[in-house]
Amino acid sequence: MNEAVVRTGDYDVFLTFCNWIGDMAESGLIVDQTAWWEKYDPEVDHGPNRYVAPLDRFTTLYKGRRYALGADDDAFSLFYRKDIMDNPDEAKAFEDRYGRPLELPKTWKEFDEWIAFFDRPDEGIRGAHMYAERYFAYTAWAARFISKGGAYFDDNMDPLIVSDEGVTALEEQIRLTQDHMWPDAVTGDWSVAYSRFPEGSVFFAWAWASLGKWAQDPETSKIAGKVGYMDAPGTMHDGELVKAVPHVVGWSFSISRYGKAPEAAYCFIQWFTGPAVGLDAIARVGTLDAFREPWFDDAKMKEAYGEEFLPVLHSLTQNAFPDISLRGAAEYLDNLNLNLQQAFAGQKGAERALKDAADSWQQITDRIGRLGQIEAWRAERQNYPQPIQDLWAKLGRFPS
Amino acid sequence: MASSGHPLADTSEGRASFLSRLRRAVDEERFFGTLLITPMQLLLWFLLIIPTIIVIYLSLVAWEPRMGVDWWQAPFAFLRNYAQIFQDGRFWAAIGRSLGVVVAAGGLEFAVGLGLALLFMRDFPGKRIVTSVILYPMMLPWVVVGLAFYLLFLDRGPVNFVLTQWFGSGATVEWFKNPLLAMGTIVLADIWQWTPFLFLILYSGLGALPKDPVEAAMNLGANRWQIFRHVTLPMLKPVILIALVIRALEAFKIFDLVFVMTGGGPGTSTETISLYIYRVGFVFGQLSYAAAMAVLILVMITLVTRFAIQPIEEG
Amino acid sequence: MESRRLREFTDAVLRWLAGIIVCAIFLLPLIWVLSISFKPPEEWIAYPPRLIPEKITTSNYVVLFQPGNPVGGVGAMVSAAEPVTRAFINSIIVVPIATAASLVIGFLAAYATTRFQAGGKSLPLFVLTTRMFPPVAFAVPLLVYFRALGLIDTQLALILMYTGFTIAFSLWMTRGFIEGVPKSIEEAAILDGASRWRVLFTITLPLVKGGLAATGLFVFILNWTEFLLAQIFTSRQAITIPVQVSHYVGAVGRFYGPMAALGVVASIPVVVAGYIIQRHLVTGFTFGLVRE
Repeated sequence: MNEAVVRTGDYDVFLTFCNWIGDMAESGLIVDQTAWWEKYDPEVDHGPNRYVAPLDRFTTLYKGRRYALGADDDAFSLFYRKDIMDNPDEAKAFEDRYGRPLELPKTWKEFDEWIAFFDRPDEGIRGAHMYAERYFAYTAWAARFISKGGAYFDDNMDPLIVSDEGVTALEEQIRLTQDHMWPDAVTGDWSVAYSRFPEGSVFFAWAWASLGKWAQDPETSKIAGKVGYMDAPGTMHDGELVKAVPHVVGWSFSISRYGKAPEAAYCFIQWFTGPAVGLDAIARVGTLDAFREPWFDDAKMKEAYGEEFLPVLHSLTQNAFPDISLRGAAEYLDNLNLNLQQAFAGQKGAERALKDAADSWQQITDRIGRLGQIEAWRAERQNYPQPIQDLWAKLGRFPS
Repeated sequence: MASSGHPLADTSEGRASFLSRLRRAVDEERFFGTLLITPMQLLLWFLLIIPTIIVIYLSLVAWEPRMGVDWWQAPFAFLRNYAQIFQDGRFWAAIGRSLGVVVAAGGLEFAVGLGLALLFMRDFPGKRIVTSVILYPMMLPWVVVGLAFYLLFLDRGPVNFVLTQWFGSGATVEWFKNPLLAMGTIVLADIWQWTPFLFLILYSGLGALPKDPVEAAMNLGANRWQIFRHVTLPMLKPVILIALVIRALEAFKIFDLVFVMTGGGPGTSTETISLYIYRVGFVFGQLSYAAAMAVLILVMITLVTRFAIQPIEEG
Repeated sequence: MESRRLREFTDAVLRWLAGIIVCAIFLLPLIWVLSISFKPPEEWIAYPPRLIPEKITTSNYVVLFQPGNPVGGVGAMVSAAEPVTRAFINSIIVVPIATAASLVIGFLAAYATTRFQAGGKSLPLFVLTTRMFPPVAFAVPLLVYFRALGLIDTQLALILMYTGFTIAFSLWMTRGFIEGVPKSIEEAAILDGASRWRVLFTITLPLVKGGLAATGLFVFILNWTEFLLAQIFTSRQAITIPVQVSHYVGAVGRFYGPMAALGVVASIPVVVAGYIIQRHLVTGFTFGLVRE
């Protein structure tokens, strides 16, 4: 943000959250890379080295033009305590209680029962840690909401969150949060997850992929070797399970218009995110996560993530949907979050919270300019995973 | 001896030369005084006047960096930004919270600081060390203070742990969930950090008070409370006033503690005005709107402080 | 007589006890910071919390200077943060210079305003307004303005701001001490033929030394701990210690250990200075508003 104000040209390359591309592109701070893509071919959306779809779209595109090169995969990953889950006594007790065998939950309904079953406050272990705090409270709600067929906006940028899908999703998540989580899921900061899960005080956690690596490290974790990985729960629509996995922040590279040698800078980021160099950087350093298809079969990656995690991450990524990436993204998300956090804290009802968020969204849209936002949103919704777009089509969410 | 005789030597020659010397002295004084304040004037122009002009200008245009134009090219909005403020409930609520911090933190810090200062008026063993300990919180970076209190009052942090040990497992308090408690915890951190400042001022003030009036009152048979109430307190009044004004000004700006401890949450329950302006300007990128809020606050504070400081100037 | 001695004795004991209790309350959060700074990552916010770390480690301190050093598995994540050396050097350059400048300029102005009412009667009040405004309100215009001057991310920018925004304290606090120096002493010296500069530096200055020391320490503390402006106006070259504290955040959360360790380390110079000039400190905050 400061650089957009002062334009020092000190930076040739920006490494930012990929949902800031819209703001940066509109401010003229970053360069349209489309021509360079044609000239140099970064192998993003085709060929054996392509990005896992839909990362190839939403970490790079704004209004249909390429403004960035994705450098990360922040599909939210689900972790649970394999040791507890695999206990035969638990399996029996579960079956007695719910009349079905203990399996990893496929739908949100099964998921809620599953968490409730493993919530054992007396033993110092709660059912789940899912974000309900000031900055990422939207993640779990959005996952439910989108999988139910919801969308943030309609094609005129009128918010669709105050709907059956939105309110039900929020009510379900509020119940889960208030009944089966430690209170600091709401009031702590985002790093609480990185303490609670590795110390063994929650059964399930949903956070970035780094939590998996962190929890499997015997030096920092009491549950190393006991972590299970699973795909996201979804919602059944006519016999088809639709999953939606929030892709939360996620880094991407863009090129400053005010830098000294933009094209050289572009070549550098293409090299850095390239099939060989990027692989090495990610496998060794651990702050970024794998995003190119072949990396999910790579031996070095398997070592870094563990044999079991990598295919799950791949599957999660395929269903990943982007954060709001319009101009004013930070503001849209902040207003959504603060209302959701209040709902999770019990200060507002679900409908009230979503209504307040929707009202503030309308104001933001009007201020920034509705026409431009409409154009951006119509492009952005096409960056969602194909199954979600198919579902929207089936529900007639957007006119075709 | 450069000057000879009394300045008012009663000769006409002496008088004339005295007057010219006086005039010269006055000129010289004025010149010298002007010279001495010049560095400060320059700095204030540089850091206060010019930015104020810019901020007023920004508040009158509609500029956001994401528009892709420079700020001097932005279209005029005239008073629209200000009109928007008056409909912005989040702004007024944040102002209210900041004022709440001023009253709560300022008041309690004053009370505790005064108590400590009175306690420390007499010597006791280890006083020097205790004084050092009391002053320490001021010296920690605010960010670290915020973190310390965030960690102490975390739902599964030490404070709640001690509570469960004393009162049983149900006795945890969700410090950051209830808006009032969350604000209280922030104020507590502020009190911890800034009581030392008020203590210092009041302690040095008390130490500098003349002893005679107190002794006179004692000889007249007044008790401690009467002496404090009717002798010490009135003499200390100017010190108390300036201490409160300075502390109030600083407390109104509270940012770091809130930023680190709650981020303004839950929702906006603990969002103070500094945090809100920071968000609007540096997170949302609505710089013109942030500028308008800044200008409005400048105006309000200036007015309030005028009234608050008048007694000091007169006293 | 006997009863009076007894009363004095109990009085002393009570004060002593109160001193200990106050000490304990003021120390608790500090002890917690200190404790965390010696804890390995898995204990930073572990439950149940322990005052004495299970595994005492100094790696939080080591990691400040060698970011590659593994704090458990965090090592790789912290490598994003630079060694603390740059922040320390910046703070050690910026803060003393700004403090000295603020003190000198403030003292001169204080002398001029108290002795000659230079700049008019309301100038000191006007200066106090610099302290009233939330710094963030000034950050926006200063940012565009410093950009035009090429001052973004430089030590000079911080020095200017820190000098300017603390000058109100330098002015107001030293004013009181100058008022406390009888004008007659200065006038006598002037009659003796001393220049005004000489009077200022050889007569007035030594008499207000203690007050200046207290003011200086206070201004130093304010600048040393300032976060918001440094956060907005620096990015790489000119970062200061409080900003560095906020850099210990990685893909797995906030690194409370190094943050606490840096807080402890950063406070040492101030504490030492504070202890040395404590005598002046407790007499230096009267703002000259009370005089014997």
